[in-house]
Amino acid sequence: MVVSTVPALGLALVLGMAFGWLLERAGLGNARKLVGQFYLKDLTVLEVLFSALVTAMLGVFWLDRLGLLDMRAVYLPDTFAVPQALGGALFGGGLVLAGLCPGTSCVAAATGRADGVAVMAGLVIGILAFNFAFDSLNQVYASTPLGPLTLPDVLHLPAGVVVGMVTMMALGIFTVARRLKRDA
Amino acid sequence: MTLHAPLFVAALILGGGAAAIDGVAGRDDMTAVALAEAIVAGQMPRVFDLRSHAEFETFHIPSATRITIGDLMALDLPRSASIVLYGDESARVAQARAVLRFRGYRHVASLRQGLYEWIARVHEPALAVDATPAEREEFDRLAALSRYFGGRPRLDVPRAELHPSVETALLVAAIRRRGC
Repeated sequence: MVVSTVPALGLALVLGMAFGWLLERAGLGNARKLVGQFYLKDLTVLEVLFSALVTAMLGVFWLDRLGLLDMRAVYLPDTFAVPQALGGALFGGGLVLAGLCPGTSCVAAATGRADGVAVMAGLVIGILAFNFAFDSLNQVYASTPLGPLTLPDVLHLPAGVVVGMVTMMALGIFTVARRLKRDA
Repeated sequence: MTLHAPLFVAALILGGGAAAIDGVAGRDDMTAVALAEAIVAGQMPRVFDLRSHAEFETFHIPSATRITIGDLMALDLPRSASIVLYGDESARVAQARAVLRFRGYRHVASLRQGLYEWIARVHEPALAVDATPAEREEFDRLAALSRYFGGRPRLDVPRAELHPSVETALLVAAIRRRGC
């Protein structure tokens, strides 16, 4: 199914607002809660985002197996190893410094937190700076292209086995997180 | 956050079930490039096209045979044969895969992203106008494969046009049909 631009943008707005509402309800508009993840004092971020990841993964896998989802319509972004590793490190550093990521900064700003507004301002400045410097960054940006890689590709395992492994890993982490919370 | 026992059990069943059905059946998808390389290497997996006769006549993967799910019920190949399926509906491909596995075929794969990936990566691989040396190296590999199958590698393509839509890719392939 191909959704035309205007309905797609409307759908994106609805989904974005729902995502923001869920982040807020999970308490992720609070920078202290996000930073707590890095000090292993509060594993809410891991629990919320890993729950979302596992839910989506199981949904996509089983909808595909039941013939209800056309996987060809699911866009697989290309992997660029070096630029994505650099971007991940930059993103992680910024997350620790600010205590918020792009999504949660919007949530924090929407609930009136000044730190959320500041992070969003930094986000916009970063986007502009990146675009103005794009020509000189292009060699790095487009380096080490590996195509649309997936975990089954990398591990040479059937998709279902990887789905099972990630699910078990998530359940193990949830159990450990609950024990840590109980002992705290 | 509390750990909800019913959700925990549901995830356990769904995740375990996913591992079980694919773990028994083996790897279930194949990239277009891997299929092309297997054909070039002489491994000759049996490739079956599940689309209509008209679609098959318009464009199909070299060495592919058109087949219906009914035909698969009567297929008589060694159970160890390597089989690759593709079609225009993932539901039909999933059904065909299930039929073959039920009949004891152990190495059944579906072509990842169907014909789209074949067209984008093998039939008409594209090199961006501002490609890096690594991209050029990858393109050279794909272009050699493409020429083997009578494809048409595209040079100096604007980066925004590197990945055509599924509809565009199929339309382009139909117009530029050659050697298949």
